[in-house]
Amino acid sequence: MTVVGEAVESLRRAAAELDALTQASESATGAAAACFEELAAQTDGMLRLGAAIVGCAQQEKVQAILPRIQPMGVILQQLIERRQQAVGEILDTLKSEAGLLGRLIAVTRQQRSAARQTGTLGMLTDIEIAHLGDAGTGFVYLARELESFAQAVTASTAELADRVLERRAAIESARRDFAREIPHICLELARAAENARTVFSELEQGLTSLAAAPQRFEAAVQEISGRINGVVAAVQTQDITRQQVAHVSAAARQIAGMIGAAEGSAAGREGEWERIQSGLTIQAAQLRSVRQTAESWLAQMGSCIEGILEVSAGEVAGIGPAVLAQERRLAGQLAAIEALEARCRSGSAQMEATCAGLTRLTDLIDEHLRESLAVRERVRLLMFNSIVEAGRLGTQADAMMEIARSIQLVAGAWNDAAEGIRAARDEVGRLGEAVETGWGAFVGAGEDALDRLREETTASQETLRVVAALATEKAADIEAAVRELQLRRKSAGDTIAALRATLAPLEPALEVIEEQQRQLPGRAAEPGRTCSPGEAEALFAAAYTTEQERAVLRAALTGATLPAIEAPAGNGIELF
Amino acid sequence: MTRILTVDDSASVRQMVSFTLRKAGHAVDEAADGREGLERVKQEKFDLIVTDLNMPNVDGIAMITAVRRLPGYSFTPILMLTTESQAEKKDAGRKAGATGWIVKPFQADQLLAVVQRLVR
Repeated sequence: MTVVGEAVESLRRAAAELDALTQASESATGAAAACFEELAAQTDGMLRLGAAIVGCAQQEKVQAILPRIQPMGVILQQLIERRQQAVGEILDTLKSEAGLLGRLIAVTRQQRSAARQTGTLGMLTDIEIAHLGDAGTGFVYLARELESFAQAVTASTAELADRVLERRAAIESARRDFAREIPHICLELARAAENARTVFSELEQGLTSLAAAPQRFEAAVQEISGRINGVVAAVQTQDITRQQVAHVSAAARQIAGMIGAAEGSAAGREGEWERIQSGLTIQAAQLRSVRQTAESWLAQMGSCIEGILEVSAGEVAGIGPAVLAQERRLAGQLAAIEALEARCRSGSAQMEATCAGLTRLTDLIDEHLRESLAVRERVRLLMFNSIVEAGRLGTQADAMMEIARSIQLVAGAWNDAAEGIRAARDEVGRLGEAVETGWGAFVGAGEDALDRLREETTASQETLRVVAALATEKAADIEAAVRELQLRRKSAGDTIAALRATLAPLEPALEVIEEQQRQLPGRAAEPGRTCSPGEAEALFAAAYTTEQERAVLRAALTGATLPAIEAPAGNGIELF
Repeated sequence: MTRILTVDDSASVRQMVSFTLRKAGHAVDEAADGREGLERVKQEKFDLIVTDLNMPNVDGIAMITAVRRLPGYSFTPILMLTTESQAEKKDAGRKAGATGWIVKPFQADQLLAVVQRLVR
C-alpha cells in the first residue's frame, strides 16, 4: 500500500473508531445518568425525611421552648445566692444567740450571788433581833422574808441557769450541725446548679440549632438542587461532544477522499492541499475540544455526584436524638436538685426543735423576769421598812441600819440583774424570730425556684419528647438511606470510569489526524499553508449542528484558545 | 398533571429533560426523533412539547410544522431545545410555530420556570 493509501486508510479507520466511540459514550452516558437519577431519587427521599423533622419541630413550636429554658440558669443562680445569704444569716444569728445565752448565764450568776447575800442578811437580821431583845421584834418579819426570798430566788435562778445552759448547748449543737451540713448541701446544690446550667446551655444550643434547622435544611436542599443542575448540564454536554465527534468522523472520511483525489491528479487541484491542511487542523482542534470538554464534564459529573452523596439531611436527623439526650439530662438534673432539696428539708426538724426550744426558754425567762421584778420590789420595800424601823430605835439599832443599807445594795444588784434579764429576753425573742425567718427564706427559696423549674421543664419536656421521638424514628430511616447512598458511591464511580473508558479512542484518532498534518507539508506546493477561513467553513462546517463546533473552527483557523462549553446563564432561553 | 413530550435523538438529553420535569411533578413521554414524536402527538394530547432541532428522519422544524397542522395543537406550547443558537435557525423555528428556544445545555431551574410559565 502506498503512503497516500495508508493515510487514507488510517483516516477512515479513525472515522470508524470515532463512530464506535459515539455509540459507546451515548450508552455509557445513559448508564451514568440512570445512576445519577437513582442517587437523586434517594436524596429526595432523605430530604423528605428531613423535611418531616423540620416540619414537626415547627409544628410543635420548638422555638417557643427557648425563652422558657433560657431563664432557668438565672433561677438556679438566684436560688444559690438566696440560700447562701440565708445560711450566712442563720449561722450568724445562732452564734449571736449562743453569745446572748452566755451573757444570760452571767446574769443568773449575779442573781445567785445576790440571793446568797440576801440569805446572809436574813441570818444577820436574826442575830441582831436576838441582841435587840423585845425591841427587835419589828425585824422578825424582815428576817423571814429575806430567807424566804433567798431560797425562792436561788431555786428559780438555778432552774433558769440550767435551762439556759441546756438551750445554749442545743443551739451550739444545731449551729455546728448546720455549719457543717448546710454549706455542704449548698455546695452540692451549686454543683448541681452548675451541671444544670451546662445542661441548659447545651439544651439551648441544641434548641437553637433545631430552631435554625429549617434555614440550614433549606440551604442543603439548595445545595443539592445546584449539584443536580450541574449533573443535568454535564450530561447534556455529552450530546454536544457526540455531535462534534460525529462531524469529525464525517470530515475524516471527507479528507481521506480529498487526499486520495489530490494524490491521483498530476499537480493536484489548485489549493487542494491547503484545504486538506485546513480540514486536518480543524478536525484536530475539534477532537482536542472534545477531549477538553469531556474531561470537564466527567470531572463535573463526578464532583456533583460526590457532592450529592456528601450533602444529606443527616444533621437535621442528628438533632432529635441530641435533644432527647439533653431532655433526659435535664430531667436528671432536676431530680438531683430535688434530692438535695429533700436533704435541706430534713434539716427543718432540727431547726424547728431549736426554734421551739428558744420559745420555751423565752417563756421561762419571762416567768423568771416577773419573779425577779417582784423580788426587787419586795426587797426595796423591806429595805425602806428596815431603815424606818432602825431609825425609830435610834443608836441601839445601828447594826440593823447597816443591814438595811446592805439590803439597799442587794436591791440595786437585783435591779441590775432584772434589767439584764429583761434586755436578754427581748434579744432572745428577736434572734429566735430571725432564725425562724432565715430558715423560712432558706427553705422558701428552694420551693419557689423548684416550682418554677418544674413548671418550665414540664412544659418543655413534652414538646421535646414529641420532636425527639419523631426525629429519632426518622433518623433511623435517614441513616439507612445514607448507608444506601454510600453503597451507591462505588457504582457511581464505576459508571463514570466506564464513561471515561468509552472516550479512550479519542487519543488514537487525534494522533492519526496529527500524523497526517505532519506528513502533509511534504506534498503541498507551499508547506503549512491553509486555505481561507471562509473556504474552510464552507467545506467543513456545513453539517455543523452546534455553536461549539463553529467556535472551535474559528479558533483553529485563527490560532485562538479553544472555547469551553458553558451553560448559557439566563440568555439561553428565548420565548417568541 | 401537565403532560409533556420530549423529543430528542440523544437518549441522555431525553433522560435529563424527563428527570427535570418529572421531579417537578409533570408527566413526561419521550420520542427519539421527529417522526416518532409526530406519531406520539397524533396518538394523544400533550400540554407542552420540548423538541431538539437536529434529528434523524424528521427534524425539529419539520415536526413542529406538522404538529401545528394537527387539530388541537395550534396553541400548544412547543419549545426547541437545541445546541444551535444561530439567528436564522431561530427564525426558522419561530416561523414553523415554535413558542420558544432553549440552547443546550439547559439549566434545570430555567427550564422549569419556562415550562411553568407556559402551562399555567
